[in-house]
This record gives sequence, C-alpha cells and structure tokens, in this order.
Amino acid sequence: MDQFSLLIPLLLALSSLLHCLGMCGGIVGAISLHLSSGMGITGRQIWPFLLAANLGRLVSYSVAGGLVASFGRTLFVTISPDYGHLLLQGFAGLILVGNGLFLLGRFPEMRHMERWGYHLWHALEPLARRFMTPRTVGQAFAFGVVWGWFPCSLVYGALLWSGASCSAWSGAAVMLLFGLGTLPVMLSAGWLTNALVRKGGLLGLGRIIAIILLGIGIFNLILLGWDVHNPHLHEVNHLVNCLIPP
Amino acid sequence: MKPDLQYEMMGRSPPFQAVLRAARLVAVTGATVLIQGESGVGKELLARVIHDTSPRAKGPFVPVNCAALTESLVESELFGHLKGAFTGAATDRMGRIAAAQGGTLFLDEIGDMPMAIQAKILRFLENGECQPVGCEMPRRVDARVVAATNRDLASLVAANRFRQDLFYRLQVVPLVLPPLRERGQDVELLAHAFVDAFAQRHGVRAPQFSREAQELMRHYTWPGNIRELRNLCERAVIFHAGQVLEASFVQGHLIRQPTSVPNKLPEQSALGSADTPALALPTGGISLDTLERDMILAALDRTQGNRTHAARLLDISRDTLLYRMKKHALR
Repeated sequence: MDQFSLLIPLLLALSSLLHCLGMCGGIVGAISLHLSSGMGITGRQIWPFLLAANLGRLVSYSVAGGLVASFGRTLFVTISPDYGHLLLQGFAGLILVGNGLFLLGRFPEMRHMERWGYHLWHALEPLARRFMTPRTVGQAFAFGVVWGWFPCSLVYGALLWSGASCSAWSGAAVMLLFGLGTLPVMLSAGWLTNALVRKGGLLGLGRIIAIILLGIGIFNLILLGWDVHNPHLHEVNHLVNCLIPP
Repeated sequence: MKPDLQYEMMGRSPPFQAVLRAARLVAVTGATVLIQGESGVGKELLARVIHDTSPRAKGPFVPVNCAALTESLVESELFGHLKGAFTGAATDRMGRIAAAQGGTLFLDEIGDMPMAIQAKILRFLENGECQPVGCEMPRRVDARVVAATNRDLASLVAANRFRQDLFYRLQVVPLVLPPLRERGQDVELLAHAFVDAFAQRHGVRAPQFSREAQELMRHYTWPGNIRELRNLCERAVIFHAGQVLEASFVQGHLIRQPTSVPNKLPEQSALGSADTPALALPTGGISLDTLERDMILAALDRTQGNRTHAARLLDISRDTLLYRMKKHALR
C-alpha cells in the first residue's frame, strides 16, 4: 500500500464529519455530560475517558478491517486466480464512486448497508448500554470496543474499501486511518463541528472531499478499463496501483 | 413500551433505526437531549422512549408544551408559586419541573419559550435549581430534561430570539428524527399497523390499501408526517371498514391537495364571498371539522410551524389559532 492510497480512508472520514456529528457526536456528548454532571469529572480529567472510548472504537474498526480484507482477498482470488487483482481494483473504484455519491446526497440507498449490522448490534446493545455510563477508563475502553460495531453506512463504506486491500494488516490499517479521521468530531464532543457547521465550512469541505473521492473512483475505473484492453501497459498498471491498494 | 408507542415508533428504514439506536444509548445517561424534527414526526414519542428505557423509567414523565403557555403564566407553570406570590395565587402550587422529580421533564417546542424563562431553564439545567415564584430560596429538583423543537434553533439564536448559552447546553446531545418522506417503505409498514390498530379499537374489519393507493402514499411528501398518516388511517377505518381503499380516497384526504389547499386564497374568498367560494362543496358533502383541521395543518406546514405567520395566513388571531390547535389536538 502506498502513501497516496492511505490518504483515501482519511479523506472518507473527513468528508463524513457532518454524518458523525449527527449520530456519534451525540453519543460522545452524552458520555461527556454523564462524566461532568453525573460523576463530577471535569476539564482534563475527561480526556482519558474519551481517549479510551475512541481507542476502543479504533480497535474494533481495525479488527473489522482485517477480517473484511482477508475475506475480500480470498474471495476475489478464488473467483478468478488470474484476474482477481483487476476485480479487486474495479471493486475498490466502484466503492469510491458509491461513497462519493452518497456523501453528495446522490446515493441514499447506500444507507441500506446499515442493515448488515442490525443483528450484531441487537446482540451488543445491552453491553453498550451497560458501559455507556463508564466509571473507569477501562469501562470507557470497553464501551468504545462495542461502539465500534454501531451500524453505520460510512463505516461500512470504508470497510468495503478495506476489503480491496492486499492483506489483513493493510485492511486493518485502512480502518485505523478511517477511525483516526473521525477523531476530530469524537474528541471535541461536537463543539468544534458545531462551530464549523454554523459557518457553513464543514458542508463545503465535505462536498469538496466527496467530489475528490468520486473523481478518484471514476479515474480508477477508466484506467482499469484501459488496462484490461492494453495488458502490456505496465506504466498504467503502476498508476492504478498507486491509487488503489494492490 | 405503551401500546401507542409500539405503532408510532415503528420503522425499519435506516435513518429512523439509527436515531432509535442512538436514543436508547443516550437514555441510560442523565444527559439532556434535544430532539429535532418536523411537526408530526414523533418527537414526544421518542422522548417517551428515552424515558421508558432510562433508569428513570419508574419516575414521572412530565410533558410541557412551551408554545401553549402564555408568557404571563409560564414561570408559575414551570417553577410553581407560593401562596400570595401574585394576585390570584390563593394556594401554593407545585410547578411542572418539581412534578418531574425523579423522572423526565419533556419541554416540547422549546424554541417558542420566552427569553426571560430561558435563563431560568438554563440555570436549572446547570445546577438543578428551581425557584418557585414568591420563594426566596431555590429548591433542588432531580429531573432529566428532554427538549424538542421543529424550529432551527441556530437561526433563532442568530435572530436573538433564543439564548446562545442554552442552545449550546441543549445541542450537546442532538437527535434528529427524519421526516416520513425520507423513511421509504416505513409508510406502508406504519399504514398497515395503524389501520389494524384502529380497526381493533373500533371493533371493525381493517380496510386494505390498493396497489395504486400504496404507490401514491409512497410518493407523497407527508407534510404532516406520521400524524397525517395516522389521521388518514383512522378515517379509512371509520368510513371504509373492510373495503379496498383506492388511490382516490387517499388523494382526497391528503393535506397537500391543489384542490383543497390552494397556494393562495383570493382575498374575497378568504372573506367568504358567496359568489366565488374559496372551496367548492363536494357533492357528497364534507366534514367542516376535518377541513378546519387540514387547513390549520397546511398553514403550519407552509410557515414551517410558525404560528404567528400561520394565523395570518388563516386570517385569525394567534390565540384563536392556538385554541383551535388545542381543539384538534394539534401540536
């Protein structure tokens, strides 16, 4: 995986700040209020709890990324031992296009992916409710681990992207980077994002990044088509590999 | 969960499920929650879900419609008063906040709360103190606050009609309920649940929606949201029990109808000229009560819930509008 393709999960996360604010921003806000009003933990003392919860979430994202990448690689190579890598590239390009359109509000059907996680969340929800009011940093971390499996179309979009990675480790790295990109919202408990939303900056930023993702996805699909018809163009192959994790 | 909630908080669409999941999580904390959404999306019901799934479920759930309280009475209503605190205060009276002790106080339409009271609500949110009118010492009340609004609070803050500090205090845990038009096949799911429930309540056979009627319902914008759908279903059960409901029936009972809700009533029609009536009387007659209700909903929809503007559209005073909304159980 090269440096450029590592940027994509970060871009995905940054473009989804508004979405994160709507759902998980409230959850972080509730935990912060519980700690400050309910337990008298204020100021800097809250940080270890918030960091632990987010670390737990990132651990879950990474585990999910590793699992999906292992499965994706195996699946595509099984489907076509010779052209599996091309299928993988095409799949990744489509995922980027889908994510870009979704973030631009042109592909709301992508939210139906959230249904994939309903059953798992149904089983995990009692645990999440139990750790939602953490008394120790360890409980905050446990909440984060469970929270990482909260059904979310954007997480699933990033997970599909990680499915196009070359190994479980790179899939885990993709999801770790995605999670890191969501940290600004999660650690600010919403106030930073609120300020940006009011100034309209976040909406504009999200759209620009979504268009960039869409452009990269379409560019990859065009290059892929070219590559299929011109299998000896190694330089094109190299370019594709720069944009999509091989 | 209470029987009514089982139906109205029903839905499989991802946007609705996501809000419900988040609500069940934040319920276990004592955090103040702000529920946002259009009129009729079920904000009070979501507040009840939060209460019912919280550790305070055994305590009282006290709803307060801030828009229905007059400015002169709101303080006494919320905070209570002591005997003799003002003319007419013949006895001590416990306010709604104190009544929510150990439970949940639901402040509906908080965007319509007078500025002077907003400061006192903020004080209550920050330190749990509530001072009845005429009482020198504040009292501590342990109640969780869930607020709701269909207004854009940020715009009200910008217009100096809502306190910025209260806005930030409420905005920490925002939950946004999606309008019915964004909930896809939930419309059919809810419609079937409603007709079944009303049929059971009225002891009749449930009507069935034809394919065309379902198609129409799926593509309608539902400005009155779930409340509009529920009313349509109740009418369907009352007037067409056991029958197949055609698209024409549904069309005839929707708020946003070009024939029943003209974009702008001509001046003379609004005044009720007999020669040029604003609305033609259908051959089969019409329920004047239903028409009044639908017009109020249409006016509120067009003015995004602004009652003063809606009253102006209907050529009545704001108080008359509030009275008629109460009469039709509209919020």
